[in-house]
Amino acid sequence: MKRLALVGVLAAAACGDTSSNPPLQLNLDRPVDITFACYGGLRITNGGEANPGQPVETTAQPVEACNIRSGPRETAAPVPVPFGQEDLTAMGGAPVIGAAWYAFILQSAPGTVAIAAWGTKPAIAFQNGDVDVLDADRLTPGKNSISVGEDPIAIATDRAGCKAITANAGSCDLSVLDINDALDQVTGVDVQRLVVTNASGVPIRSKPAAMVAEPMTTTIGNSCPAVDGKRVASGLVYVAYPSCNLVAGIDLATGQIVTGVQLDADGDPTIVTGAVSCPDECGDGAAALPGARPTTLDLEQDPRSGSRRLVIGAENSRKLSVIDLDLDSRPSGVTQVIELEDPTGTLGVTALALSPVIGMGGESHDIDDDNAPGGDFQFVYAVATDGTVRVADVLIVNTECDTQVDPRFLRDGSFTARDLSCFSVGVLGTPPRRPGARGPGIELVGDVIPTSVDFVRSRAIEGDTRAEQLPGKLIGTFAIVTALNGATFVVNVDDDDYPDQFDPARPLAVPVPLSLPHGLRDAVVDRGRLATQVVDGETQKLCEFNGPTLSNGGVEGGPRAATSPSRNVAQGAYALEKLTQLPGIRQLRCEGTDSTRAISELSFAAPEDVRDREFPDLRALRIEETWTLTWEGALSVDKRDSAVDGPVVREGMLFVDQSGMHLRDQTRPYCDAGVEPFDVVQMRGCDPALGNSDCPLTYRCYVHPTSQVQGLGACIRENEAERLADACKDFLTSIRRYTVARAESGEVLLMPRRHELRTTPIDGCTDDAQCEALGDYAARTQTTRHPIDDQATVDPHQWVCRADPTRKPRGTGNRRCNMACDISSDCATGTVCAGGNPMTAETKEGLCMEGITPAQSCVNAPQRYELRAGEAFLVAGTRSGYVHSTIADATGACRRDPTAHPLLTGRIPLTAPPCDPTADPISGRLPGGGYEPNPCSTTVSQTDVIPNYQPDTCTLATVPSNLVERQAPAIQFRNRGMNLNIVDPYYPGDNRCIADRGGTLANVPVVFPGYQLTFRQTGGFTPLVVPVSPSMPTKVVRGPTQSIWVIDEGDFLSTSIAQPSTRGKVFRVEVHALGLVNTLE
Amino acid sequence: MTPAQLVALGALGAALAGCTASAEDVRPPDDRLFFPTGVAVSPNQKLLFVTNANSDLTFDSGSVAVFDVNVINQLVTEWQTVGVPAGCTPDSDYTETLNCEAPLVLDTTRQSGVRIGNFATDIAVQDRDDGGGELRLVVPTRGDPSITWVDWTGERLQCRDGSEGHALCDDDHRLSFVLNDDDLVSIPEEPFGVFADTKGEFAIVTHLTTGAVTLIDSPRNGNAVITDIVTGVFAPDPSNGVRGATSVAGRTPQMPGDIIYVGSRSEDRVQTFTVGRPVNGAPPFLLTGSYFFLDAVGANNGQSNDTRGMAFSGSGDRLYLVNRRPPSLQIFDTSLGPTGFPKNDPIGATDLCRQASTVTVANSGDGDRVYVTCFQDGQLYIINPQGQGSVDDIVTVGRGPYSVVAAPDAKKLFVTNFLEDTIAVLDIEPGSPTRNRVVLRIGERRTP
Repeated sequence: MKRLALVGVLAAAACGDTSSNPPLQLNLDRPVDITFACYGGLRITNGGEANPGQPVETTAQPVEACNIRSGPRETAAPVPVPFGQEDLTAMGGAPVIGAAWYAFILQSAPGTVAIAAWGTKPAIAFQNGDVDVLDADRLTPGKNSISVGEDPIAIATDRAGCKAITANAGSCDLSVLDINDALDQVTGVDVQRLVVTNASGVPIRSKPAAMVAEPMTTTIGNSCPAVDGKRVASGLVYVAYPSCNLVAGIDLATGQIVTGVQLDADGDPTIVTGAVSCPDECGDGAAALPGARPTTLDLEQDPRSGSRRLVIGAENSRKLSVIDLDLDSRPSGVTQVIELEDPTGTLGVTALALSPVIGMGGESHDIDDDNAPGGDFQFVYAVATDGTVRVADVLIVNTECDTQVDPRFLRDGSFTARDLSCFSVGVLGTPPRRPGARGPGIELVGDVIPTSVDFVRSRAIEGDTRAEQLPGKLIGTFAIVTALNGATFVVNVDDDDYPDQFDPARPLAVPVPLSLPHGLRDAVVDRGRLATQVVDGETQKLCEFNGPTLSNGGVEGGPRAATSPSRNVAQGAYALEKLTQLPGIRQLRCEGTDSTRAISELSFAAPEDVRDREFPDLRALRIEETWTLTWEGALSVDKRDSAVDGPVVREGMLFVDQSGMHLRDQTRPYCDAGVEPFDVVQMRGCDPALGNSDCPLTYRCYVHPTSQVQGLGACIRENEAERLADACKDFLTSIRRYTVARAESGEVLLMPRRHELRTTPIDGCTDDAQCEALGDYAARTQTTRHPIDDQATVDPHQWVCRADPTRKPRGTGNRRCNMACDISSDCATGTVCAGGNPMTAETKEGLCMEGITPAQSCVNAPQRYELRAGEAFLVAGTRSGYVHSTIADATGACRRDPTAHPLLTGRIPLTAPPCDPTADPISGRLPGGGYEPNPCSTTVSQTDVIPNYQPDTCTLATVPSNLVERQAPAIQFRNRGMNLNIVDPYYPGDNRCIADRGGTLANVPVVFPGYQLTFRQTGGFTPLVVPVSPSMPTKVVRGPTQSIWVIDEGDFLSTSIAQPSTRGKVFRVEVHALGLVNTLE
Repeated sequence: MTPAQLVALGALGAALAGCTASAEDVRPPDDRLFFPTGVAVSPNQKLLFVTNANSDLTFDSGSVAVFDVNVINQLVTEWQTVGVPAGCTPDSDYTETLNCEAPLVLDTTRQSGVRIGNFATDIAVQDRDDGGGELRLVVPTRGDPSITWVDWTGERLQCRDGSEGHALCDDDHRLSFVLNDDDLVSIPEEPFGVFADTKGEFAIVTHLTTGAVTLIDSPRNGNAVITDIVTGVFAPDPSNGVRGATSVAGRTPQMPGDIIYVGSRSEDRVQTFTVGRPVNGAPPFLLTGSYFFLDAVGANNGQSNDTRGMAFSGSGDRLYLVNRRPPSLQIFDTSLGPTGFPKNDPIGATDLCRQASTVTVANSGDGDRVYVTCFQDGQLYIINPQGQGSVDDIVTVGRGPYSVVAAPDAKKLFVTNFLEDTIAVLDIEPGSPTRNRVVLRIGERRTP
């Protein structure tokens, strides 16, 4: 029967049919772990040379036997065999049939082990459908698994490769599954319970949380160890017992603890003997001991150095214990503790993996550890409870490595490959951390939660015709990280197919985040591509090229604005012909073979050094998002299908007392939203077009009959509307826009906001006459006429120059042009007169307000409102939201975090401190430390498309426009991933014709609330993910021939008849070809 | 078939059969369990309230039964230290389990219960203690549909005038219309989950098939009344048109200004609410807050919805959320961030049984444990939420475990087994040899 099983495996391996159909039955039931074995013919040589007289068995054997048989070879070449297993049939020896690989898949909930098998062959010969789930009991219908114990949590293969061991949390013991009996299908399955005892023979009955086995022997040719003719397990396993802070080394032959590592209350390890005790969690019952709870282990033997090390992580400790083991896999006495950064004191580790010793750096296009310029390192990757994967070197620097170093500081070549391999956390000389980083650990895209990690190595394939540096071409050492959302990420540990250093001469060719170790691998091809083409060997510049776009919507090349940024204005707010008067994003002159034009500094066609400067950290850019820069824009961007920074329209309660209007929200969202004093609260009332649906039951959406504000009602109780109509008239007929006087996490104090002339000079008005003139100027920006034809357009309202306490102070005395009134009919639509006196005919004493303080009775209903930035462009991304550093202080007041990185900002005012010419142009860092202001004011070269008028007329010439380059005032803005310049925060006005810029106005802005610049940024960081879709991946394991095995415990509940529901899956992925996936389910 | 249709069918069947059963014949018993659903404990953990849904309409109404936790504890203690108490029998399959018929356990409290509508789904307790242990229970019933409120006087439940024990609640205690005004809006069908906020003096009910949320103003010294209904909170699932609000929980129900979290059957979104109280004394209303998505688990596989249970840790810093797609317990950090706003960040998840129904969290001495009922499998998942969360134990508790609640001081956990008319009592004392085992089963198991 065993031969039949093998034949089945080999036949399956030979089958070329790669199609798959929904299975009629499920083979797996919530797998949680996996181990591997090699089974087949074995000449018993006891490790010596072969001779024809030696017996041949079909038996389990060390996996090295299958490794050798799976080694690289020519297609037609014979299968390599281990030493001693040569074909001696010509000499009269018994034939040694081939061996095959087996996977023992642990299923925790049913307490069973499923078996899968595949043939021995090189990884590059692997195909879909090569792995098959076997039936452990052919006498029972269906594909059966083997019952092993109660709630098993881990499985491993013993030293001889003859037994699979499970650690059982439900029964606090181990189970020993005989691999020969499981696979030969003759003798029946043999599962033995192994009670764990201490040195005194007292059973240890604590619940295990993790288990690792010592490395398997590589001596091939021994029968499985046996005592009195019965096969026994061999070697050591280390089992983590969280409830007694112990990692016990258990002799599998006896079940006795022979060594161990005890963690103290601080998580520090001590090597112990078998004289240990633990609470009885499966018998009489006992409470867990306080202290560090070890829950994750790894034990690796480095193939180059032969060193063996055990690494221990605890779910409630920031400390990693690294234990050197001797050749018997017992602690050699050398231990080290790596302390992970833990500012909150709550860090723990839930999964980890120890890498081989890696020769870091180099671009040899194959693994070349011995000649690596960075020297040897050995890393522990630890999945931490802060949602990141922490990295520590445990060979050279023996500290945690900061994987979030700001790439802006790694461009000058001053760091060697060795430096780049591990920047020690908190050490002088380690560059600053990337702004907004959660900590030093690797963050997965989308803030998803990592669950498991393991390392794989991938060598170059002989004859590989793929281009260099392709994302899917893995050559070097990589970590595979699974995440709860089902994504499986690839992390560059040492990419031997990619340069190690940034190239200042070709800054886009090697983006720093892609060359650094310990970063997520990017999936986008050709990051260094430029807007050029080669014709007849000549490189030609292109200006119309926005970068390569794929048919599936993806992109190649680096980050850029997908199209030129656009200006959005509400209809009637500004004449379309005059839009270029408004602030914009800097443009450059581009001269290409396809055209000569003005292009955005953010465009693909921008010069390489400009693109490099504007997108200095690829990793900080989302794959794609739309950015908006909105004057007095909403602080929150959430729509129904997104939750980034809160809903645009919120609901709260308004309370009016002697101190003013208090807008309260019990969820305390204001500091979180980034509200600052002098921001704007726009009350939204209710939308009468929706009936009463914006209001609670028994309320109606009431619109005052005299209101001229469109779409703005107020929720008022059914029986109170008429009564309150007069009392609340001014409130109900105003546009209800207020200024934030004070912001706390749960309350903002509002003050009525004066209606200000948007063309009030940035440094303040001088007198009423100036305001009157600027009022006319503002009115003319809404007409399509040229200035010379537009002298008749005047603003009918009266403007006065007053100190305005409702606006953020600026200029001397904060004098603003306010709209004056005697009565509300003097005011603009939606504003009402406060303080007016119609009896004084000569001067208007009142001011027009955008909202007034109402009586409490007017605002007893829930209040819908928007939070908006005051007098600034609000920078928000559809995925990033509005980035700010506002926190709540001890009193609950909102304030900017004084320790925050200056790039954590999302506001661009029209005035800013001057930029510092000594600052680094990429990072903004000053030579003496610190950063230049952000935003800051500067002057930049700007290219405009200027109308070309015929002399002394406003008639366009034959060539209707010219490209004109000029020095323009600008506000330079940086955020986590992008730099840009807003040019022309104010406009001098035109003299004769539109856009002739011939005016003499000084520092007069023309922006207005709602004016928006927008662009879609694309080509951001796109993580390479393994193409599998688990529901809840709990573990990733490196398998034979460096294959990647993703263990998916989760149920998939199908809603399609074409796709079955499953109870967990196991995916095998080939590291050299990530698209090659075998799925077991 | 909806409960209302079932009621109609039952009535029709009775009519066709010429049934002449007397009122007494169809009066629900006060000493047994019949399709138990919701379960809750009093804040002092001395009383256990269980709703009987009467789902096969054997009787003319459902009921709320009251159990004395001390009586239950005494039975368990006697069983574990002395021997089998009179009237009980050891379980033939589980040696640590004692089976006791309900009348024995309900002996002293059978007249403390009340009769309510059919198809009760859940129960919530509002503490209105004025020194006498006064409480208020809020019970959604799907049959009418309506929401029943019942006051615990310190001695018995009361929902109509008079001193009759096990009385049928009157119409004043059965809420169907906003402000009890039948000219106003009636509540949507299928009231499902309920949460009562002691400090805020309100309760919130979700609706399983409409995605609506109902607010009940429940002043501690006044009558409960429906004051607001928010409809369309959740959009329908585009693949099947199903929509619904399911679970509901308050972050800090003992503190003013609580934030209420509501989960959905159809969307992968948790919506928050607060309750606004106008200064003019007008009825309170719901204020819609921010929301977050459940895309940290399973989203890459296209499944991340059907929330069925939510519970907060005692501090309000952790939210434990049960999703059916994929079956998972998801753990969220709901502590206040540096801005003073709850973080609502996912921090872990564990695999669960399919068809999980409810969740509760308790700390009986060695940290929080999360308990999830698995209706289909008859199991209770016990999860240690440390780290990213891990399954501590999976316990078979009975057929159709519906709801679960803990009495940490008594070191007991109570699970209603809907399909077998029992309550499973589990020992949750750390270090106990029977920890996480059913030590007592109350009620006579109904045969399938």
